[in-house]
Parts: sequence; structure tokens; C-alpha cells
Amino acid sequence: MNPKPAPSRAPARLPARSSGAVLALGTALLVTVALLVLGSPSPLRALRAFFWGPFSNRYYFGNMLDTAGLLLIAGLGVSAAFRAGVFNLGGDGQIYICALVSAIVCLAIPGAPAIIGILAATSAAILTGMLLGGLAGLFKYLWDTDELITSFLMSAALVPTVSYLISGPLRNPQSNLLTTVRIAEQFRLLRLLPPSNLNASLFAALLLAPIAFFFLYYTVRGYELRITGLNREFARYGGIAVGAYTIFPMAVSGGLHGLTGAFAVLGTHHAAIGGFTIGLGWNAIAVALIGRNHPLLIIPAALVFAYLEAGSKAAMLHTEFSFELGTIIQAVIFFMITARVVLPQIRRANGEGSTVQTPRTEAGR
Amino acid sequence: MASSALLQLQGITTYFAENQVTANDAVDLEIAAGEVHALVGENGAGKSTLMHVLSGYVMPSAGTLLLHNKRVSFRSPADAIDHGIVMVHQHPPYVPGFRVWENVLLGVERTGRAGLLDRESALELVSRVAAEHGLSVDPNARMHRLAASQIHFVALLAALVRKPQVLILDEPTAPCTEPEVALMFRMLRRLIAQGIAVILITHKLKEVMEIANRVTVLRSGAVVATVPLHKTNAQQIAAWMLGEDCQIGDQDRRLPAGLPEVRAAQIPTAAKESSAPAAAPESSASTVPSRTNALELRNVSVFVGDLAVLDHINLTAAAGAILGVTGIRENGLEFLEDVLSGTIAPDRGSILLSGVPVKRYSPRHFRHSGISYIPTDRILRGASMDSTVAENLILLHRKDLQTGGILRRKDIVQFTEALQRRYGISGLLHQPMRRLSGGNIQKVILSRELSGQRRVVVFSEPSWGLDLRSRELMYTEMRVLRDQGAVVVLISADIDEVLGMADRIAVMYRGRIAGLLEGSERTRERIGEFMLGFEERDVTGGKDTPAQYGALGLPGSGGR
Repeated sequence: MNPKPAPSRAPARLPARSSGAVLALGTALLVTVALLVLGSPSPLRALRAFFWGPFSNRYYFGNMLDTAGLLLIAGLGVSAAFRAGVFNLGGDGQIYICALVSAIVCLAIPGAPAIIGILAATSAAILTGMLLGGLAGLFKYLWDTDELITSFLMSAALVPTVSYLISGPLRNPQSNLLTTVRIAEQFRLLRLLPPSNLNASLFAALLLAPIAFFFLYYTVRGYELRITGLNREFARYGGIAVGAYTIFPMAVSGGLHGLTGAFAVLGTHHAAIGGFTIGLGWNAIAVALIGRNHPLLIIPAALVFAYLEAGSKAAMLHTEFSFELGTIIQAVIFFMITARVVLPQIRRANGEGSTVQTPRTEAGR
Repeated sequence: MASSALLQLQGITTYFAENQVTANDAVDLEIAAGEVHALVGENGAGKSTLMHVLSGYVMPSAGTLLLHNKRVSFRSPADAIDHGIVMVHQHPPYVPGFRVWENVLLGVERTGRAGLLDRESALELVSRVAAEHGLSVDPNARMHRLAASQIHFVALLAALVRKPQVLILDEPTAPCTEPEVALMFRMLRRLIAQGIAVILITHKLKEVMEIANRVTVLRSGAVVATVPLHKTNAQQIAAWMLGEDCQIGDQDRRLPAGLPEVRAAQIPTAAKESSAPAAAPESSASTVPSRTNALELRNVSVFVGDLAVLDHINLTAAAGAILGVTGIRENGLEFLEDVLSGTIAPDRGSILLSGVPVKRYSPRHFRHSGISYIPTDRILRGASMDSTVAENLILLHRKDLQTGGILRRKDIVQFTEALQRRYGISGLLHQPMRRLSGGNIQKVILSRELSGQRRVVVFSEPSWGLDLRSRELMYTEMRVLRDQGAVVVLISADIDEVLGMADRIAVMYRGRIAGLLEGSERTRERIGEFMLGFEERDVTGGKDTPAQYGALGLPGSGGR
């Protein structure tokens, strides 16, 4: 249609902005290496395990890609809300309960054909997630409650509830683990790299990113959503229904977290296990931030994050290293990313503070 | 050189480097003992800054201060107070939980033995000074219980306790009712009889005429005139304030020779334009909005707290005429802008669009009714600074530039490039808005709001930062819009702009329409009288008397 890329849509400022993400990841890497070198009795072995571990065999490599896929979907969910200027901080709990919901659906219809069961389980999970996210958006729309708090609190209440259900009423008495009964064979998604957990859900994840990109940059709704996220006052001024862009992105965000939960059961674990997705939601926030909430950049962000996590797991398994490396990496990345978000604001605030000598005159209005 | 003046300012220049504003430009001023010296000028004329220099809040960039013919310079407000120069601010700061006497004596506390506060003597002092000046204030009242005018009187009392030689009052009567103003003026007369000099900053010429001995007029940071009051009159002062010799502004209004004449019909109308770009301007007559177009405000009031910031506004902007609304800022222009654009809903009254009452007050609903709006706040409201220029341009036409929800990029490029050429927006369309200069940002806003057929266009301070050519283009389009039968409202504190463009001029004063001027009545002098509150014509038309703006109760009346 148009040979040269239309200038109006090009995300022109990506290279300059992504340097911060590189800085955050680089620092995380440095801290990890320093810890491995200083804290391990055999630093070389630990470093080798960390860097090469994820590629050393099909099992590790497949699991890393599987984690990346789940992080990608959840990361897209985080950015769906963020791009509209709202925040879904309840992703972790949403993934967890939606995973349980999809497991329950599968267990309720063990004899159903594959396609029916998979569709039913994923849609139930997505709807549950949409409901949870959408409620936080609706509360904000109706009563101006902070969606950050309400989504987080709803999740915080759901996590122990789900854990109770898995370890109590829904527990598989035959298993030593706190887990539900495994779902029927036909519902399990195709394994790609056995014996690893990698499965067909990775394709869905890789498909979702360009869809999200297309929606954001090529459709009117995506345009309205981005404008609302960047300047709500301007959006309202332009006649955009900003109320809708409070509820809708929160619901989509919840829905994508729900899908993540469904894939964790149908693809990765084939059962809902106590606490099995905990942390995934928070890591997804880090992934979305590293990817600057850009659907296409979230793909490499998810891969890199999954690699760091897999590396630290390998380093812990193969050496006597006992630090919670994954948590440390996550903490460093969060620290760096939030510092990058917060610091310019502090600088700006200080800049204003330095004009103390300027009195508040009428001219200032 | 010796002078009889108590206080002399010589060549005071105040330059703020951070925003490159010269607030005071070589100001010379003499203040004599025992006079009320009024200081008048428009917003931003430099009055407050000059007084902040006098009272030690701001160090001047250049110039000298002489007190009793001795050179002085103040490093802090406390320093100035030690020299007997005390300022009462427009919005006096106070400690809410404190009692009146505690606030009055804050910084000059009376201490007894062992550094303890001597409450008895403090109370006695405050009561005595209040009585001396004819003020009745309960020294034990809590500050946050007081009305705005009472807080002002407490601040005045605090100034008097510090035994000033020069008392500076910045808009002291703003929150006061008539009897309170009378009380304050009685007090001021007693003060000058004691040899104290009073500098009075005010927007109200009525008060200047009543109380001042001399008046100094500031404009754009410089002194225009200093005259004894008996040698001048209000019209003269108003003329000085507003700048009667402002010929540059008038010339601006004329279309420079050689500039291509442009018509609103040539503005691309989104997608349709791309298919038939040769549509003749004349042929657009069929799509011209009907002459029955009108935007009408009926008894519209808006309250902030108890204050009517818009007070029973009755105003009709009819098709085929440009309605200008002017006034000094903070007299309601900004609220009128918000009401006309649907940004805020009126608390009382109604708005009619082409005779039909508006049911839902939201910018969205107003947009659907065909309202275009160029806001005063361009950065926050008029633009999305982190979006691209093109994304800012398509805001109103996003629905015309899509098929099945998907944006047609080719048409967007054509549409935005056409707008860019029209207004000569420099910069790339895919650049973030943030990169553009202020003038270019306004060009983006203007070209967006004026694109396509518009039934109603509200301009608010549209020419700030625009270069000559774009301004002319805008004025031309404003006229074309009018001639095509659109409703055009021009809200501007710039009298020259309103005089040059508007067929009818509404002047706002303290939330009301003080006067509506048409035909030969549209003169700078008449506008000045109305905008300074010197005259008020009842244009509300209704029998219900407008609520008193700022009727906040008398001092000592027990608060609110």
C-alpha cells in the first residue's frame, strides 16, 4: 500500500530509550556474576553453569523457552493496562486463580474431546481474569478507587484461597505433592522438546505479541488507548471515552494473565500445584518494564529474563551455591528500572525547587 | 542628592534567568512619608515583583534602594522588616492550627523568664494594637475558623505590630465586602496621618480614586507614569495601564500584502479531500452550517467552594459574528472557557446549542455537536507531548481515517502532510510533539481544530507564541468561519486582539459579564472601564440579584 513506512506510526524513539533496559539487565548480570564469584567455592563451575546451563541440554533449554512464553503473555497483559495509563498489580494472583479455574474445568469434563476441553478451560480462565482486572477498572471508573491497590488487594486475598483449595478440597490424595489430580491426556498441549515442559502454547504467545502491536499502532482503538495512556486530559478533550479506557485495558490485562494461568496448567504442569505460578506475575512486570511496554520488545525481554532465571537455577543445581539468585536478579532489575522511572521525576521536582527565589507572582499563572 | 522621599528606588531591574523574564525594567519610584501610593498595572506588569524587591523576597539584578537617603539592600524579608518595610501578601500565609495572637506574633514572640512565651503580655499587645487601629479581632480565635477577609485583617495586624515605616499591601481588599473595605480605608487614613507610607497594589481603580494620594502605573515591567491623583482621572489611568499607544497590535491585525489569502474551505476535510482535492472553495456553500447556529449560556453559574467564579452568565454567541470575551485573568475567563468546551458542567443554569439544551456536559458530547476548541493550556490539554505530531493532528478525524477500525495509513500521511503545509509546521510528522517549539505546538493545535467543517469554534488565548504569518492565517480563518455561519468565540485577555477581531465584546469582571459592547461602543476605554470594575451594566437580564462575589463576612463576625 505504502512503500515507505508511514512516518506517523513508527515507534521512532525506541533505540534511545532501550539503553536503560540494557543498563538494568547489565547491572543485574554484573551483580549475579559478582555473587557467583564471591559466594561460590568453585566460581568457574558456577559461572559456567550460569551462562551455559540453559543451553546444555534439551530439558533446560525447553524449560527456559516455556518460561519465556508464559512471561511474554503475562508481560503483554501488564503492558495492556500500562499503555492506557492504568496499572494491574494483581497479575500474580490472577494467573494463580485462573490456572486453578482451568484445571477445575478440565477435571469437570474429563471425557470431553480435546478441542472442547481446551477451549472451555482457556476461556474460563480468560473470563475469570477479565472479571478480576475489569472489576478493579470498574471501581476506578465508578468511585475513583486506585486500581493499583484494588487489583493488588483482590489478588492478595485470592492467593491463599487458591492455595487452600489446592491443598485441601481439590488435593489429589494419591500424590505426595500439594496438587490437584492431573488433567486428562487429550487436554495436554503438544510437547515440543521432550522431556522439557516446552509446548505449543509458545506459538500462541509469539502470535499474541504482533497482534498486540497491530492493535496498538494500526487501529483506532489502539490509538485512543495510547493517547489516553499518554495524556488523559488531552484524550478527554479530544472526545475519547476515557472511562472505557479505564475498564477495558484492565479487563484485557486480567484476561491475558488468565491465559497465562491456563497455559501453565494445559501446557506446562498438567495440574494445578500449590504455589506453582507464584512470582510469574511479578516477573512479568519486570519483563514489561524492560520491554518498555512495547509488544515487540517484550519478546526479547521475556527471553532474556527467562535466560537469567534458568541460568541462576542451573547455577544453584550444579554448584553448592545457595543464594536465591533468581530473586536477586529480579530485585536488581526492579531497582534499576524503577530508579530509571523515578529519578527523572525527582530531578524535575528538584529543578522546580531551585527557583525558590522566584516569587509566586500573578505572572506565574 | 538629598530628597524628601522616605524611600527611593533607582533603576531597579529584576531579571529571572530561569524563564528569561525581565519583571522590572529600570524602575524609578519615590515613596513619601504619609502618602497612600497606589501601584497599578495589568497582570504580569511587574507590580508584585517590585514589591518583593522592596520587602526583601527578591534581590534585584540592578538598581539601588535608598531609605532616608541612605543606601540599603535587603538580604531577607526579616532584614526588610528590621528597616521598617513590611508587606502584607495577596494570599497571606498563616499557621492553620494557631490562634490569632500566635500568628500575629510569629517571629516576634514575647518571651518572659527562661525564654518561655509570655502569653499574657502577648494577648495584651495584640488587643492593644488592634484597638489602636480600630480592628475588632478576637485574639484567641483559631486561624482556620476565620474567613478569607479576616485572615487578611490578621495579616495586617501582624504587619502593624512590627511598626512599619512603609506598609505594602498587595490586593488587600480582594476578599473584602464593602463595609470591610471602608473599615480598612479608615485604618489606612489613620496610618498615613501618623506619617507611615502605604503602597497599595490593586486592580480596582475605584479604590485608587478613593484612597490614593499618588498613583504609579506599571506596564511590561516599566513605569509609565507617576502622578498625584488630583492631576488625573480613571480613564487616563486605565489608558496608561492598557497601553493606548499599542500600534503594533493594530498593525498585526491587517493582512500583510503578498500573503496568499486562504479560506477555511481549503482546509483538508480528512478522507474526502484526498479523493477530490480540487473541490473549489466556492462550492462549499452547500455544506455551510446554517445561520441558526448558536451557543447560548443561560444563567450559568459555577462555584468553587462558596465562591461564584461564574456568576449568572447570560451570553449568546450567534452564527455569523465573532463574540469576543475579555477581562483581566482570574475574573472568570478560564472557567468560561471550560464551560463553553464542556470540560466542566455548570452548577446552575444551562447551555443551549442551536436552541437545544445540552443534556450531557462532557468534551466528548460537545465534540459530537461539532465544537472545536483551542485551549489556553496547550501542553496539558491541547496536545499529547509524548505522541507524535501526526498522532496529535488526527485526533478529531480518527474516525474518518479508518476502515473497519483499522487506520488508513496512506490517508493519514496525506491528511497530516496537508495540514503541515497549510500552517507551515516545522518539524517532522513522526517526531514527538515535545520536540516542537511553543509556536509550532500551537500551529498543530490550530490546524487540527480548524480542519474540516466546524459549527462552533472556541478560541482561548490563541495567539500566544504565534508568529505573524500564522497569526494572520488564524485571523483570516476566523473571519471565514464567521462568514460561513459558524459560531466563533474568542476568549482573550489581550484587548487589542479582541478589538481587532470581535463583532461583540463581553467584558468579564469578578465572574460576571460586566458589560457587552457592540458597534461604536467597542473602544479600549470602554473595555478598560468594565474590566477594571469601574462600571458595571446589568446584563444578566434576570430579576434575581447576583450573589456577592467573595462576600465572606465581617471581621469579628464569628467566622463562617
